[in-house]
Amino acid sequence: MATEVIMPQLGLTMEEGTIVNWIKQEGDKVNIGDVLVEISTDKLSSEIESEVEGILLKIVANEGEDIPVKGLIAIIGEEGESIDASAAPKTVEDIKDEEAVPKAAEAPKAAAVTETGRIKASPLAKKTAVDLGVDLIGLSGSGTGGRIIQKDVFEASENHEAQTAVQKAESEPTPAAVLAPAVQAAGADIVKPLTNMRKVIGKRMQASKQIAPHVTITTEVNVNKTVALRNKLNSKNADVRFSYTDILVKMAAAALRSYPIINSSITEDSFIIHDRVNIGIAVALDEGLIVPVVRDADRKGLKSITAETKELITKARANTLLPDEMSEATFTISNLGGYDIDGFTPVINLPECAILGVGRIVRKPVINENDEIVPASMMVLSLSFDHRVVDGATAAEFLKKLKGYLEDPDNMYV
Amino acid sequence: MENKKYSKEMLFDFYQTMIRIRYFELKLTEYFTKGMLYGNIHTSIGQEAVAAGANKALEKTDFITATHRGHGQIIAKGADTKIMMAELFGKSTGYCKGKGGSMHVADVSLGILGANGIVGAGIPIAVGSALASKIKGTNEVSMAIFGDAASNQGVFHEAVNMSAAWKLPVVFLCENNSYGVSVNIHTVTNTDTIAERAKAYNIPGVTVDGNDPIAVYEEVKKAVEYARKGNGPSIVECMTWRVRGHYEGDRALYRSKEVEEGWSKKDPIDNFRNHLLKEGIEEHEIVSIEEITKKEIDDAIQFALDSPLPDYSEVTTDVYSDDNGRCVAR
Amino acid sequence: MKKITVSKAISEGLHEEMLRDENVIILGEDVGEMGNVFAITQGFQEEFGAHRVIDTPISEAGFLGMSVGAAMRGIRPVVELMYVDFIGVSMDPIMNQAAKMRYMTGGQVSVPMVLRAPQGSGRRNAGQHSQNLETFFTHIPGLKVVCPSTAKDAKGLIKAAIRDDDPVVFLEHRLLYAKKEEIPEGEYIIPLGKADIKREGKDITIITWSRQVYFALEAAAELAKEGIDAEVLDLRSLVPLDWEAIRESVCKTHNVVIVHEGVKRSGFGGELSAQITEELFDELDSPVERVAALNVVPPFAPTLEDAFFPHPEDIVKAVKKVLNK
Repeated sequence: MATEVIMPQLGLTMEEGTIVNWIKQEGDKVNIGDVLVEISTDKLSSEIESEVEGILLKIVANEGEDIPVKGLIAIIGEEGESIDASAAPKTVEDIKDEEAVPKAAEAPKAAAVTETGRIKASPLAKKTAVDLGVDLIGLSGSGTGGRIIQKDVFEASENHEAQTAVQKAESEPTPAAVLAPAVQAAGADIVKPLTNMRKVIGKRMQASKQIAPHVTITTEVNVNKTVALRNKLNSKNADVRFSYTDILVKMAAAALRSYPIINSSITEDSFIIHDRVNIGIAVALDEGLIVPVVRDADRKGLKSITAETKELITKARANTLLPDEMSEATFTISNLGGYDIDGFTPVINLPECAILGVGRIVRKPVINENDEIVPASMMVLSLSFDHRVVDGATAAEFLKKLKGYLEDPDNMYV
Repeated sequence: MENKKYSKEMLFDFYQTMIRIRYFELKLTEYFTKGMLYGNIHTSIGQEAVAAGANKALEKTDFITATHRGHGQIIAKGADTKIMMAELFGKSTGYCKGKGGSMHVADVSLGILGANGIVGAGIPIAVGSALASKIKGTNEVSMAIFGDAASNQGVFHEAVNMSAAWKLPVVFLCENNSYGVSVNIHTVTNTDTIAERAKAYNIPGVTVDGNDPIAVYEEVKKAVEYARKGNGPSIVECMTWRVRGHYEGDRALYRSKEVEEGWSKKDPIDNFRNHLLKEGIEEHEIVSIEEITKKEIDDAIQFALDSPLPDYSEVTTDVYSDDNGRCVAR
Repeated sequence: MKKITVSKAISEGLHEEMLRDENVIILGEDVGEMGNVFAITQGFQEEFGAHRVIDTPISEAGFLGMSVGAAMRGIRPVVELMYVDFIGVSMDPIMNQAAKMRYMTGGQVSVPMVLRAPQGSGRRNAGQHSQNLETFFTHIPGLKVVCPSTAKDAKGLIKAAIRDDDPVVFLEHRLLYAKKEEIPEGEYIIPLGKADIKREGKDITIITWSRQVYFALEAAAELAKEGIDAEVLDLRSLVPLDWEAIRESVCKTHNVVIVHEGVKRSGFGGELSAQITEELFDELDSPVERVAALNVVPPFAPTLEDAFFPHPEDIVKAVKKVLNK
């Protein structure tokens, strides 16, 4: 009985692996635990060991080929065993025969991720994805070399809509339009069609509130030292202006390293604890809200974070952000301090599992450790988290960690 | 030089044309040195008699094609020194609105089909102009002006051959100053003269003193009449000397001092001035013409300096006659 | 409608313009007494006289330069190079004189000449008589470049080219001369700079010109059997370029293959690809693909020459590659 060797999933985000080097050749005898082949992904190199004993009957995936997870790479069986026709690799002739026949509905799809982790999508597909609010991550591409083309985005959009429709039916949410009494424009009322951005925000926020059980915890933080730090940094660096958001990005990223569960995404039957810490920053625009992403914030210095956020925010306001600059956030910060808000309950940006809401800094009388009433700069932090993934205690510990950094930035180094 | 054959007016005309060219080009050297002129300046200082004599033999309706060293020929054909100077300064008031410069001055209404930056390229163009006259049945003569070095271009042969075969009304006027930039014609050519090549095409060919405007005038006049009568082309070779280098900045070290000195005694303007005095023309009359002409060139410089450079928007105009915008866009 | 060959269509266009405007003249090698090697000007010299239909010596640079001079004087020369390859000995009058005269003289002078030159691969004429050199000319501002494919287009375009006040390079494909096609009766003009959709389609745009139009149509028919609906856009002239037509088609199909018979490197396809990528990037669902001749010298042997320049199957392959089918 022949055994199929498949491309294993070596990481939660792995979608395909590249065959680097076959250690065993066709006809070789293999024992359990023998290394068959070396493979690599965008993140790591690994070896595939044989789980069975027998003869390597057929190598299906050649060196250099990218094979999707679960894709067939080889067949092991007993000597002289004939390989099941369906599992047998196709010969060139087979492929030619197939090409001669008009193609059925589906072209072969491959994962649209390049070796460097960049998503391969056509310019038209990217534009369409932004218009339709479709996330390119995880989409398979039917274009040449696995490129995502417009058709794939359309299909994803339909799936997405179908899914939402199913979810809607299951949870029987009541759309605002149905719940509220019917309205009609009258007099000087202005009727404006919903922009695409509005529609996307609406859909996402509604889905988040319906799908993710939100819990919001708040705490008030004495940020005297952070204020002092920022003032010091800004006076020392004439060329940059550090914002509280920049500092919070840095501190949150550090805290997330200690509480990786907060830096995770939920899928149907698993959650993915992300290796990278990519912080989304909510930016208000006239027509809505957009969330550019500072990637690997935990590995970047404050200065580069500041430079990056500045550029992202400028681009966001100019509407020139690239899809890549708005995707793959693992945690989001929404700062309404600038709008004189003390605290609020932010809505989680799915598939992330938490979002930090930041209030204004206000001078207040506080009682210090010596029971004296002293003036202090105080800030309210609110953390909304997805209770499916995170429990209250973990969320509280994470927030406490972050609070500690804000109370004394030196804590980041201990 | 023959006596009393030409009216005082005509002699003055030769003289004024030559000094107009000389003053014009001296101003160019001056402003080039000041760094106020763009590109290359090829002066014809020393060669003025060829331009003055040859063009005098043409009618206003006749055509010329000139060379990269063409200021003199173009002025002699009647170009306005103001508009020309403006062009050389790249000004929007110039003949070509500042788009051509020194090597591309043209005024078709005066029969000037352009100077040319490609050595020899004007020769077949003049032949084409002659062909046009023949097809139209009009009687203009076209004069192809070129240097000794251009006579070694393939198109010289092709153009002379065709015009000879079809008896087109052309005059091939060779300004032989012995040098193609730095190369002496005798080091690259096995004939003594360019004119003797005429034999190969079965057409008349003559070599004249190119520093004597009257000698040039007389030979070109014959060639023009010959062409106008439908007999076909001739070659008139004018022996002359380029006083300055190939272009401003070239010290012409490839030429021997003795030869240069020899030619300096044959300056066409000095000689012709003496000739005028010998002809009984009063010194003050000559000075008066000189002053008028100096003033004309000073005015030309002033006009050029006062004129604006072309607007940036002009860069895309005049490329095409039809559909210019679209053709320039992609 | 009537059915005539492409060469006859060009001949008709020339003939009508000779009759219409006495400033139009024809000159070139063997265009007079012989009436051109493809009989395009047969009988013209008898009809219009040797002064308007001129047999030149083998002096390409000379008679092209002469045409420039005549054109500057208001004559409208239609000058013929027997093979476009001969432009090698006669480029100066075209690139430095005709093309630039108007600009260099500040708009004073126009050069209303037409340079007709047969070109094209596939006649087993080897290295010096089989090239497609349209990019030589498109690279020179001041020139217009026309590459007709059908008999109808060839006639309408040659008439427009003659009436145009600028130097027009009119490149005829030698292997199309004998193609017999329907054309309208009587006089008509096809303006320069107007592309023609030779086949409508929605899946992919094949941009092409000259003989490759026919190959593209063959390829499209083949692709249709597999459910791929290709649009074939015949540019007809490269300068002026009908960008609107390109834009519309690309925005409809989102996939582009450019086909030309000249060699690929620095071919006009590269230019088109760049323009499309620069301006229509967000409309593209795949990279712009070029199908063109190999970057080699045109070979002689039939096997080699056929391998040298594009054929319908190359176009089919390219389309499938682009669409991942």
